Amino acid sequence: MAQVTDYRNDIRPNWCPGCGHYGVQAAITDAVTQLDISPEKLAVISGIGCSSRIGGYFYAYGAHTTHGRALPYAQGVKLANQDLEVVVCGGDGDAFAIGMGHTIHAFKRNVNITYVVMDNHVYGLTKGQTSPRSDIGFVTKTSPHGSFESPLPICETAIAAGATFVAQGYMINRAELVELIKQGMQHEGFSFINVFSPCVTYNKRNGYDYFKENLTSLSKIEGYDPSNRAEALKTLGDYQGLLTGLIYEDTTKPCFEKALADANGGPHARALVHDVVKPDAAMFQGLCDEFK
Amino acid sequence: MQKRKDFIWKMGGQQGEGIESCGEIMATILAKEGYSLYSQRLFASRIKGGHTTFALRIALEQIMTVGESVDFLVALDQETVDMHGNEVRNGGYIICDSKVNPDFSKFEGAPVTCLAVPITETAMKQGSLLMRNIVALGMSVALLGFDKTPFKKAIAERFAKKSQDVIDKNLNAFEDGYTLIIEKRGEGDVDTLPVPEPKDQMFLLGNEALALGAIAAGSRFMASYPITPASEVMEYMIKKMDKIGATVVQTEDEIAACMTAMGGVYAGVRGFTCTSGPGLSLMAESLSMASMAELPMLVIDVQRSGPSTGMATKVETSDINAACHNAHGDYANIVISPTSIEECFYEIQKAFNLAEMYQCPVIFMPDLQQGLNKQSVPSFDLNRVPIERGKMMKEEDLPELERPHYFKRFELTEDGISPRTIPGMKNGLFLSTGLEHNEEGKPAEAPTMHVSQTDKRLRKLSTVADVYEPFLNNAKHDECDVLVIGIASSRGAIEEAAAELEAEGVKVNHLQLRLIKPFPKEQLMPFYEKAKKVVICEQNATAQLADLFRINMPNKCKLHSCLKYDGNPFTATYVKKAIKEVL
Repeated sequence: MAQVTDYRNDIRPNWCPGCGHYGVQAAITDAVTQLDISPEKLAVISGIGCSSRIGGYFYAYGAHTTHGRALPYAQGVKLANQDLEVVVCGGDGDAFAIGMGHTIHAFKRNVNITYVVMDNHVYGLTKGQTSPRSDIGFVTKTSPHGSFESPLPICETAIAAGATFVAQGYMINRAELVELIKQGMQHEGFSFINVFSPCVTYNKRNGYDYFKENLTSLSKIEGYDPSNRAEALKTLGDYQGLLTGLIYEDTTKPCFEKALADANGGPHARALVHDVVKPDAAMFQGLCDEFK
Repeated sequence: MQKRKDFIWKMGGQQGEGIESCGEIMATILAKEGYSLYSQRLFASRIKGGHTTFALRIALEQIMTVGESVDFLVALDQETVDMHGNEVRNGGYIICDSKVNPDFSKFEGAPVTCLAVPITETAMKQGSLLMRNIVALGMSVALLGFDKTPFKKAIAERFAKKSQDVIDKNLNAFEDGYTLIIEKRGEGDVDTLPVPEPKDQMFLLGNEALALGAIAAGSRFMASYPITPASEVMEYMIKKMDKIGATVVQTEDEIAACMTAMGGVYAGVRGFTCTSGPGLSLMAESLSMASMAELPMLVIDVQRSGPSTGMATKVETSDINAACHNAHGDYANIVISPTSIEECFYEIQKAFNLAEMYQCPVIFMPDLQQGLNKQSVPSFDLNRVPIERGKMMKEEDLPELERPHYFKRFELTEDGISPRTIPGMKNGLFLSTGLEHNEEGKPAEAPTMHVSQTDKRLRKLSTVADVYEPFLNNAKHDECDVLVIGIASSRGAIEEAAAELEAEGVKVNHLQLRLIKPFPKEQLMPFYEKAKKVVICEQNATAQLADLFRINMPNKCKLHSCLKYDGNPFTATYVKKAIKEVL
């Protein structure tokens, strides 16, 4: 069995003391430990930003890519080697501003990877600017009179775009978050887990007290059914998105890899990650003959 | 009877009238017979309507251009007569559908034969306007003096899945078309081509050759976004996905295409993407990361006219600067351009090898002329270019790794190239990042490490020009009056211009450049030094290739440019004139 120490390297995170991201890293570590995923089978792909530095904080294969582009990269990794457990991490700026085009398409494409967004409603690494998730009225260096753009309702957006697994967690509620990450990894398709992860330096408005007061766990809502799309959207509306737990799951839609294999008449005899070799000579001759 | 060297046939009309398919049927059959062919499609960036032409040059020797003057022009509309009539050479024919009451007054007294022929009416006799192209095919076969038999066989095969009635109607349309011409000019002495030796040939687009090349290189992973003139590569890969066991993803944009392919590359497959200028611009940041993270990423850029959307269906080689320099920072990459459609197949396989041998991004850039036109080429040899993966490690050879140590994926080696592992390999763990990093991939901003790693990334490219044949060598002379250097599709026009000049007593050496970055200075130098004048042919206004010579080569006063940026390909006449001006 794996130990939590198996995923620990000797790099000290550049996060501030009290940053929520420590809790997210701990929760991911617990999840992969409990699922017994060996470090060489784990690929942590991240974008750019405070939270995206997480790709280098696990003892695993880590790829720290470009701003907003972790998702396309991670989908490439998974499609090339389906034996890998691919976890994508980033912040709300990475995911919902510069990377939003990719995020929407990842929801609808449904490649079997897990996306953990550390959502603190603010830009941290660039030292405090407004984010797509900032509340109206939030004062930052780039919104001195208070932000006046609507905060993006990301879970509703995910469901509307065709996401098959939409969950939300709070890094303080570790047990719930670990379960959500594990469920996400086990879900066959794209799993989106938005995690509230307070920024103690640049967001005094949405700090630990704010989330403690305002979040409701779905476990407290009797009879909540995450397979009911309409109920998920209504409940999100009722609580202004301030929910934690598994919000929506669709287990009927096949993941992209499976749909592609089915369209091709079943999985190919040779997995992609097998050695790069010349194609079968007779098959190749057949392709050439079509041009004669 | 005079035996000629080639025929140039051209058909024009509105897009969507089946003009291309008429030419294609003819070409497929003639390729089988052993003729060398080069086709050229001119079209507007729209789906239906708009003037279009399809030209086919038929020759006995291998040809690399469509040539200049036309022997037979088949026009379905007046526009074709007006726009292309003056391309018809002395003794040639202009044949126009009598339905449009063609106005030939412009050609009164000219040494060309103008005929109005009931093409539409003949097609309608068989019941459908759609058969105009088959009527035109019959006419063309009669004009060119070819044997009818293989064409009739091909028509029967083409419509084999339809009813016998459809086959019969098409055969009748063909016969009627053939008869129309024979009636007009008699069966007698047709100035046709000799019958060649049969050859094992393929007739295909450069874009199709690129896809076959990627397949032959063992690539089964592509992510791409549609763009003219490159989409055919992705379309072909998707069409054959089940056969080759490939995964091809049409992504949301070119950034995603590049990053998805790069993710695949990081995971160990030969991923690639294919685009044109606007897409290459979008990929710039990703490619900068591929350089930093030393990912063997291959990008095909089928060059079209720019800047911006430019002329999406017209040829240019104006992405040279972008391919070399569009990514930020001290960017280490390789840029290669194939010199023919055949090379689209072979050189791309070498490009895949170079990417893995040098662990850096490779931009492979044909031009639109190569990508979107069909040529007959000797049948492809699957095994001519073996797969080479450079310093890729095998899992079983990796020494034991002890946490928290990582595999030294970015080891500072003498040649600058480090051993490579991929996710999934036990004992191969490393960190990949766009940040400056140490040998294990851990972020490292110490000045010494940045200098060492930068030097390593740049040093590794110093041997590319020794390993890869940097140009096609058409230099016949030890010393020459003029050295002509071209890239991409300019090859054919240069070769024909050089042959004409040689016949006039000018000593011409010709090199067609394949390796653009790193610039093969040492390999070019002996040719450069022994030339009185140097002319660089390229399809852009800013002399981007010539600039590379100005930066790298001595004696700049002997450098001259032959530029063309009107969207149309080089012709031998154009190149010859430019060379004569500097002699």
